[in-house]
Amino acid sequence: MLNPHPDLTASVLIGLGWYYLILFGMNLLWTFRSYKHDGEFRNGVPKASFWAVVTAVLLMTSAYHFTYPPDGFLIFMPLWFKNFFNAYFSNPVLYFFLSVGGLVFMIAAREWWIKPTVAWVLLNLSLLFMGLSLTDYDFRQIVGKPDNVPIVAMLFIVAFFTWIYFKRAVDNDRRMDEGRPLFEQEDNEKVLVWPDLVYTELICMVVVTAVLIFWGIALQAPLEEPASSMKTPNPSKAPWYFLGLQEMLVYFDPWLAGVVLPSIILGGLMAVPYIDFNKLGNGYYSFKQRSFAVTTFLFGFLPLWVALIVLGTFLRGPNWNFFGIYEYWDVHKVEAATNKNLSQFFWENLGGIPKGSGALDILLRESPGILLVLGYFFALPPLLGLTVLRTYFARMGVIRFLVFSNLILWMAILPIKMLLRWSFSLKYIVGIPEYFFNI
Amino acid sequence: MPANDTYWWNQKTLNIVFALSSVALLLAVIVMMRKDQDDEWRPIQRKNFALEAKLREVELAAIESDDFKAQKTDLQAKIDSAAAALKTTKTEAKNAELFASLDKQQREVDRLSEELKSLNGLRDEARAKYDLAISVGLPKEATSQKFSDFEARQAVCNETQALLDSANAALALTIDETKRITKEHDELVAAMDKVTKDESRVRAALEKIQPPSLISSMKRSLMEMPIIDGFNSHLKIVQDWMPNLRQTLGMAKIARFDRCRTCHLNIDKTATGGFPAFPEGHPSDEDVATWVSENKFPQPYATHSNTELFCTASSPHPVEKFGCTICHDGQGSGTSFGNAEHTPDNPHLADVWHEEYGYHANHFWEYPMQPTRFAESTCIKCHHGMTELGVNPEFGATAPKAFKGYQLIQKYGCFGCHEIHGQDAGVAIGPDLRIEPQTAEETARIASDPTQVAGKFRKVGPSLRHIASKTTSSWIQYWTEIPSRYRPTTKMPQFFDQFEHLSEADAAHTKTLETVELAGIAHVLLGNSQPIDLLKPTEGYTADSERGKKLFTERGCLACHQHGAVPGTTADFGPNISDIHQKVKRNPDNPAFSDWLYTWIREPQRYHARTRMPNLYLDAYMDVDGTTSIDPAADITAFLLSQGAPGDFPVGEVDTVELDNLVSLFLRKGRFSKEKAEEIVKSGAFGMKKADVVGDEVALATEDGSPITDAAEWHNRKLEFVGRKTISRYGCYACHDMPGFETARPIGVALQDWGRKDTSKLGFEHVEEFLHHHGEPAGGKFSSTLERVEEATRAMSAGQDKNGDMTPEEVDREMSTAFFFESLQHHGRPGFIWQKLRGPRTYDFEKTETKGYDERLRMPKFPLKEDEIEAIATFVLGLIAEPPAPQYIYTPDERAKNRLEGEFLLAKYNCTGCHVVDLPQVTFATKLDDITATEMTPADHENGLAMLLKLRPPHQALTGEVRPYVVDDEKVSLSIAKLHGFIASKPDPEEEDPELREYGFDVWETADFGTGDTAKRQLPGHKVTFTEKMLVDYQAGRGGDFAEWLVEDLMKTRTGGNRSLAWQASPPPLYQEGFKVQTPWLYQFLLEPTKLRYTTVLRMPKFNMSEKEAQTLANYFAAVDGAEFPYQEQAPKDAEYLAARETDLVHEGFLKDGETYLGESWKALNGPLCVKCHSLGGRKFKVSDPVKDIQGPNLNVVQNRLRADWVKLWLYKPTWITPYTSMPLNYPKNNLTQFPDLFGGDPDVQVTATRDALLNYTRLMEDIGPTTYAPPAATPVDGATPADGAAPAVDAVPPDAAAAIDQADSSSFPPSAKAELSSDSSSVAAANGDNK
Repeated sequence: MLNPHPDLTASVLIGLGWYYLILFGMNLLWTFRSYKHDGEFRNGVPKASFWAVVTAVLLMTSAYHFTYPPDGFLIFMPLWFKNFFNAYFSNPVLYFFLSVGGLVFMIAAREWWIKPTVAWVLLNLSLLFMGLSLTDYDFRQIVGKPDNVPIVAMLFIVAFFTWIYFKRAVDNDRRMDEGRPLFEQEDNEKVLVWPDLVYTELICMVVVTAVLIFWGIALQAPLEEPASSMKTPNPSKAPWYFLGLQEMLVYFDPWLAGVVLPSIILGGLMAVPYIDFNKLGNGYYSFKQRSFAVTTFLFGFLPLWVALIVLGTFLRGPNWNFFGIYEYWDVHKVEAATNKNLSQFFWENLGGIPKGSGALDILLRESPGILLVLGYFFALPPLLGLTVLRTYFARMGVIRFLVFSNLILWMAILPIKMLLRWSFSLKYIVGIPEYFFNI
Repeated sequence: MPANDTYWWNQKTLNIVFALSSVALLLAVIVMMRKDQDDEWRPIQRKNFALEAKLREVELAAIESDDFKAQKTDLQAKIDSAAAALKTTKTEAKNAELFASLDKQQREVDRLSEELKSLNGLRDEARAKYDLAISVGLPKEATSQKFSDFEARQAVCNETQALLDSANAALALTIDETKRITKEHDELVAAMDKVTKDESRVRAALEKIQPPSLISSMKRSLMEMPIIDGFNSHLKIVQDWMPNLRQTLGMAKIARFDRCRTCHLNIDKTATGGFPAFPEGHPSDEDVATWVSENKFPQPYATHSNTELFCTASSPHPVEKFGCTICHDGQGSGTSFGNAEHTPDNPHLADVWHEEYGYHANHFWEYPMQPTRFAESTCIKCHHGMTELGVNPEFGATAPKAFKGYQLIQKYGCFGCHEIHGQDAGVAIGPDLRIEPQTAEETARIASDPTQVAGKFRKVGPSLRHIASKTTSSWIQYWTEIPSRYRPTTKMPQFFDQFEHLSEADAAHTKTLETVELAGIAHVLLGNSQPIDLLKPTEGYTADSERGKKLFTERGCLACHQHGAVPGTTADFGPNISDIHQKVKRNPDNPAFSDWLYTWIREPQRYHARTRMPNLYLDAYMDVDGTTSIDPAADITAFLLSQGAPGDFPVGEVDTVELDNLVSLFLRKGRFSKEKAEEIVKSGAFGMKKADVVGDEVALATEDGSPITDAAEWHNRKLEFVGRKTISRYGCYACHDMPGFETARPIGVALQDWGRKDTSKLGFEHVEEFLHHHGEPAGGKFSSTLERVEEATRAMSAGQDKNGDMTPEEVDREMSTAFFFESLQHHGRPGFIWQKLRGPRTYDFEKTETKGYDERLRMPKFPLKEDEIEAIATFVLGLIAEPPAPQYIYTPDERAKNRLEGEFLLAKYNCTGCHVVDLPQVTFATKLDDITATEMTPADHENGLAMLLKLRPPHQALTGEVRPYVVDDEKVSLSIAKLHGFIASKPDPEEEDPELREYGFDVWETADFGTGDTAKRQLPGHKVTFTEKMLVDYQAGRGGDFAEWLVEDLMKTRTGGNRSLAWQASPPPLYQEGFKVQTPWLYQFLLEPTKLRYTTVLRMPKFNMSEKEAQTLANYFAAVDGAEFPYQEQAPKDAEYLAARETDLVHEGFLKDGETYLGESWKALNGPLCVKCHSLGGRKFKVSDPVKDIQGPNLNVVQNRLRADWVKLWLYKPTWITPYTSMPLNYPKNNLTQFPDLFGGDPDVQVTATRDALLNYTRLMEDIGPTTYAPPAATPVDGATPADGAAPAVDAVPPDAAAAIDQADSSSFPPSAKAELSSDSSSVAAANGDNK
């Protein structure tokens, strides 16, 4: 009780023992699969022997967890790693660039990582990383909160479905290159509603109900303190699925981040079928035929939505400060937040910001930002249509192209604003707090 | 491809999967229901039923003794034979007929009553129809039709009723007849019922829990099944609902539901006599049978402690009305150990609970249960007055720890910096501890605002307004730096020289800065000090320090102060002044004397207007020889100064560079740039006119804004500037009255809602880190607090407390530390306040580097002990500024209010320093046969006894407890008795025979031993003796430490061992003062004490109290005793009373023709009795025998001072009221010849007459004037000495009273008498001579 933040406790070790036991089970199955499918190394040893060794090590690790007391325990995330990670990876800039970089890598190296063995290795590594991280008190506090558990699950689920997509898409792309029929064409059995559909749906219902009940019993509802307007929780967080939106609040005025941008996302998604002119890639997986659409979607979904949810859930702590995953959420942490509006930058060397509270004064003051915004939304689309996106413009026509280009520009506004904030401490491009209008 | 008959999935597999998933779902549902039934409280309730059953069994076993069984069998046999006899009787022809007709008649009665019932129904219907017809306004015909319908119905009813009545009468006759026959049998059955009543009751209770039949027990089990248990099962949530005692949850205030009693089922159960039915304890095992046999019950099965105060219906806090969480906090709606938010009292217990209940702290519930150590803090929610928690005649000290915290805060004056505002817009929200208004403007402003109440506390430190007259600059600096260095017992906190959290270099640098600050403070204090006219002894007076010492001892100084030269006292109300000679400024022309000290002793208010030090009336008087003037204040001054030479107080050298740095720093904090500040410091040119400067910078400015060129002058200006800044920064004015700082605001955080302060707003900084490496005194057992706490918890888990390796005190102390340390680690309020009081500056650990010198923490370190810190924490944590509904707030009635406010004043002015207010209590063991009842002597009046019993109703001395003792090698059971009074004698320390080592005890109350006819009664004045072995307990009285000390001292120095005389010379106990004095007189007396007694060696001083306070205190005594207040009618002053009295006495033949009642009374008073000791009726007290005679108080004050009943009892028998008095029994019942011609010589009437004369004194002096009455038979008065000899004091040596007491009213006191009164005046004179 005297150490308020114990890294290792008996119950943690036992929990991790089970964790590694499950990992052992998974790898045991994988070893059998490997024995069947993977063949041998050059020297004639079956490749499965590698997995056999991994499996054995996992079993021993599990056993070690079950038997050893917390004092003098050897398997834990080393302090140097935690310090290193906290020191160098706990800033949103790096996090964002890494997530974008990850996306680029995912697309570029798609042929490599869709291989089952590679994917399995990656899965194992990520689970091992998590297992080791769980020996850290602060990491456990964040990841282990009952309402954060689904988000951990979501990470793996999103990864899995992305992997499925790329696996199928790469397969189909290869088939098309080789002139073979598509996977979907080869395997296009139609099935009966009963029993193939309805029966399985029923079973799913039953299983999901049972799982939810067990889950509800195992993880108690995370009740916190009674709500009070006098004392709000710190950090004050939206439901997990809105944390991406909440992250936008860091960079945008609430009316934009909370009203305009979500509306545009919804409207934009609805508009996608009408904008899409690409007739290829319908009804089957393919990357090559829809590379722009997929990349755009994945950019909007992975770094700008899922990654921001993870950021908001695990990395934003008290006072909405950014914390490393092994860092104590100390309310006393302070991050300098001295941001300036564009008008301040602009007028700085031109004799200072024009004073006055009249509408014209304000317009004059904010004229650089207003011009910039107007230019962004009105001048840029035609410019793009005439240059980079000429083929799109030609095939879409004016209206569709304008809608399309504006949606793209709206999507880009978030990373642009983030970059501006990080590099120039820019607060608002147009800042008219007098009328609650800030961009 | 079209659909075909083949299935995508294998049907068999699907079926299996479906089956498995269905089983999983079923399992999930079962687990869910199981979980739902898995409440922690169910097994507890089951166990409690087992416990109850066990208790019933034990009870049953006790009832069913062999005797009982035999009695039952015997009765049963009788019943059986009676029944058999009855059976044959019944069959006799005559009787058979009778019983048959009984049956028939019974049936007839039943039939008729049934019939009547339905007929009545029809009648009522008809009546209703008639009523309705009228109300809807039907025509007359219709209504009369309805009325006749009703009448017809009523007639039928009446008829049947008559039939029923006669049938009933017949039946009653028959029953009577049958009863005669069954009488014997019926009586036997009734006797059986009576005998088995208890048994049946207990058995019924037992069978309810443990049903004897299979079906009932199955029904009971069924009621425990899931879902069915929702229908009023015996296993259920017990809920207390307090709709008005709302609780705050987040932003909502909602009704309070406490379900604590779901587990704590027996919390309010009491056994006969109000004792807890399930006393809490730690039984040796888990078996309920053991619990019952050991009569110890663990929680949650135990009853609440202090059942007379809590939970029970007869207590002030019944659980149905108050619930649990209003006092304990926690989550009342929770029904599991965790959800209820129990809080362990220390980390070790937390570990134990973690093992046992899976306990972990839940920071989401804002009001977890109070740990035991803070249990009392919640009392403050409703008890804003606090006093009732510490001093309570009914329940004793109910929250001593919280009360102690409150007293400590008063003592140390925390509220000087930390406002504790008990009012919010006129609504009381908690204890109100605020400083009184400091200026006339503030007083006026508050008085004009009806929503504001002025603070009532004075600043706790002495005034520094005229400090230059008192002491020196070097002493001020030396003292302020480390007060305890000069006076170890001081309450002044330490602001400087606290470096435990600083690095060596930082500490050294800080020290140089502090030296500058200290010099600055002294400079400002002396510079601002205002001149004062000091008093001086008469020109040429030579003070006598030897006499001074005696005066110091006797005149009451030691009631508040201690002094090393007069050891043996313990008063700490005022400072220990052994060292005062070192610090006070002495007269330049006479280093043996100090005018300041003289003034202070003689007239404290002259120096400090709000001081609590009273004026002791130390005015000069003439010595016994009538030639030498004695100035006690001067003598005491000389005595105090004679204790040594003035002290030499080294002070640090002011570092001019640091002085400049500080000035520059403070200037920069103002509106000056760094450059400008440095320029000012260097040049001496502030650049502004004094008049234009606001703030402390005024010290640097000159009148015309010209620069200061004189280096010394500039140095002083800078010192003054730094001094002003320092005083403002540390808030010295919070405790001291300082010129120029009257309107300064408190510098600390307000505390009125600190108990709920958001913990995220507490600045813990690096204090945890500090305690990991430091925090314990250097050279102690531990290098850090962490180590200490770790060691303590380790020792506890190793069971060292159980093995006896740790004493209970050690466990308490170490676990307290561990608790606070752990709280601090979790950023809890208790931990914060704990360390804040232990080392206030340690929160600056490693923070000083990043903040300016002036931003450092300022809180000083108080000389608090660990338990005192805990007491203060208990009080402060109870300050939540969230009072419950008004009906829950403790609002005393008028009597209680006066009592409580009076108690507060007793403490404020240290009345209890001199006066005993609650008598000591002795508890001893005795054989009932050994108790001697007080005998009424022939001299005692029956009427007097009646009056005594009215004023001092008997108090049961026997506690009811019996303890085993060994007396004369024999085992005996002795009764334990409790008595109130004073120890009269203690065992001789040299006596070795334990049988002779005896205590003597003067009983002051009327004590009954036992009840009923056999009870023995002891009256006040009775002396009880018992051997040392029999003494069970002695509890010192409340107050009067000085009086008791003085008594011992006077016995040695003046009265030759006579305790009664010594008491007469000391401050009197104020036992039952409320029955004695008239409230208006007391009020006047408190404001302007007059001299009352001639026997005392000191006088009641004049306290610096307000009229309101005097009023409250006057009411207090009456309120405590249940006497009438604030005004009392004194019947003897009433003309009607006197007329009635006169008529009665004439009628009864006590008054002869021509005699008036008052006239004869006046004679009685002026007879050769009272005047022997009292000045009376224009005749001054004359000393005929200086050895024997003692002057009593003047009698002219009696009419306004004393209550009529009391005076009468006093005249009947003085020693019943005050056992030590010298006043004799003047009117013995058996002496009819004393004043034979007054009231027929009846002493009883004479007593009343004397009383009435006393109460009409002025009137009689006016109407009749000085009278001398000589009884015809000049029987010597000595013959009237009381028969029981309870007041032998007249023969004893009177104290050297006159020499010491104030002689200001010597006009009424001939000098010769004074001389004669003083028995050892010659020795005093001799001593004087020696000194000369």
